[in-house]
Amino acid sequence: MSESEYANDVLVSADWVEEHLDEFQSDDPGLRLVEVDVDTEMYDEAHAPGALGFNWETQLCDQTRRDILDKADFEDLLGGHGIAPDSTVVLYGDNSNWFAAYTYWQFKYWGHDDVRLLNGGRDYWMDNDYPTTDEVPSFSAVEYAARGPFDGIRAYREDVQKAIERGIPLVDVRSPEEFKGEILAPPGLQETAQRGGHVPGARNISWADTVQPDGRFKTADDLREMYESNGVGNDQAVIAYCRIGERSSIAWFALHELLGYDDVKNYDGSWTEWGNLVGEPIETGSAD
Amino acid sequence: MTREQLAAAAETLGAAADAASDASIADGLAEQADQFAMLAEADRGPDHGRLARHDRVLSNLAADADPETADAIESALEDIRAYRSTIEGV
Repeated sequence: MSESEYANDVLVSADWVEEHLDEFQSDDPGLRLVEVDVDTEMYDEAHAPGALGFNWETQLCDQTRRDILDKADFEDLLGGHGIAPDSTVVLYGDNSNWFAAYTYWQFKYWGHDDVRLLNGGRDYWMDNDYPTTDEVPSFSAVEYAARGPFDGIRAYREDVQKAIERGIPLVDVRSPEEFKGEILAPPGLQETAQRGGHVPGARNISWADTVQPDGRFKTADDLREMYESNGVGNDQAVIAYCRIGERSSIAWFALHELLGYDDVKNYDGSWTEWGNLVGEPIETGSAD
Repeated sequence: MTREQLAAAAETLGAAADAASDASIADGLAEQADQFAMLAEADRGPDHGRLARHDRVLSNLAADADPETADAIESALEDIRAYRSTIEGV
């Protein structure tokens, strides 16, 4: 579609989206554009024409359990917004695409075949003066039947326990200060844990090192060199985690989708689960 | 409305860029100074994701810089993180 140097054709450029804006605004469900934000005031003010707006907290998380959407809710969300099982869905959002990447991972978990990320997210779209509107689109509802779940891309606490025992690489994508246990969360972020530190044996490879200063992903060669130089290759399973599973979705996307690593899981429980578990070990300080 | 902490970070980074002996670090700091000057005056302030990217860029620059430049970057990061603590997130 556009950024074809990667293992999978899952990343689209802002130029490509701009060229297809008429199709994104059409009631035909072939192409759908979705902005995923935590702060939905930004979507209300301005968004790409034709983009639907999803609120990560209220529409992409289960509202009673701490969990992703269940199958019925996922089907209702997509079908109700005119997204069909064979739609090509392009996701982008605030916070450097953190929650768009989480949504991408959730789409794959439920088996949506053709989903892509807009390279650079909302910041890149706005910074480079691509078209915007405050009009909220409305598309005819369609039937949506999800094929998933595909649990092979999701890690649970038992997978982390096994990874520790077996020496499977855990990629902690948080800041060095969080990894070392000096802070429980980045300044201003609310969800934390009882203890600071990291899962024993984890390597600290920041999500922010997967992107260029403008927020677009680094080249495949640069990504591969970064991960391999940190001992994370495609010769074994990998588990990525962060604090609540959103930043690690960026790393999961880079490893599994852009580099084509075969077995990469996102641990969406992440540090707010592991750091609160009774009886589980942690480490503090740097990985060295 | 000027975001004072981001404006202060821009000023600190600009001065550090002028004083840096390494040309590539000076260029990187000047770019960051320009970005924060823009963010200080933008209609809408930066979100956590954007600030986290800048934090990483600056931390990487500090790791390669001489001690005086690294201290200046750390001072700018304190302002940036203080601003970040005031914005909403989950």
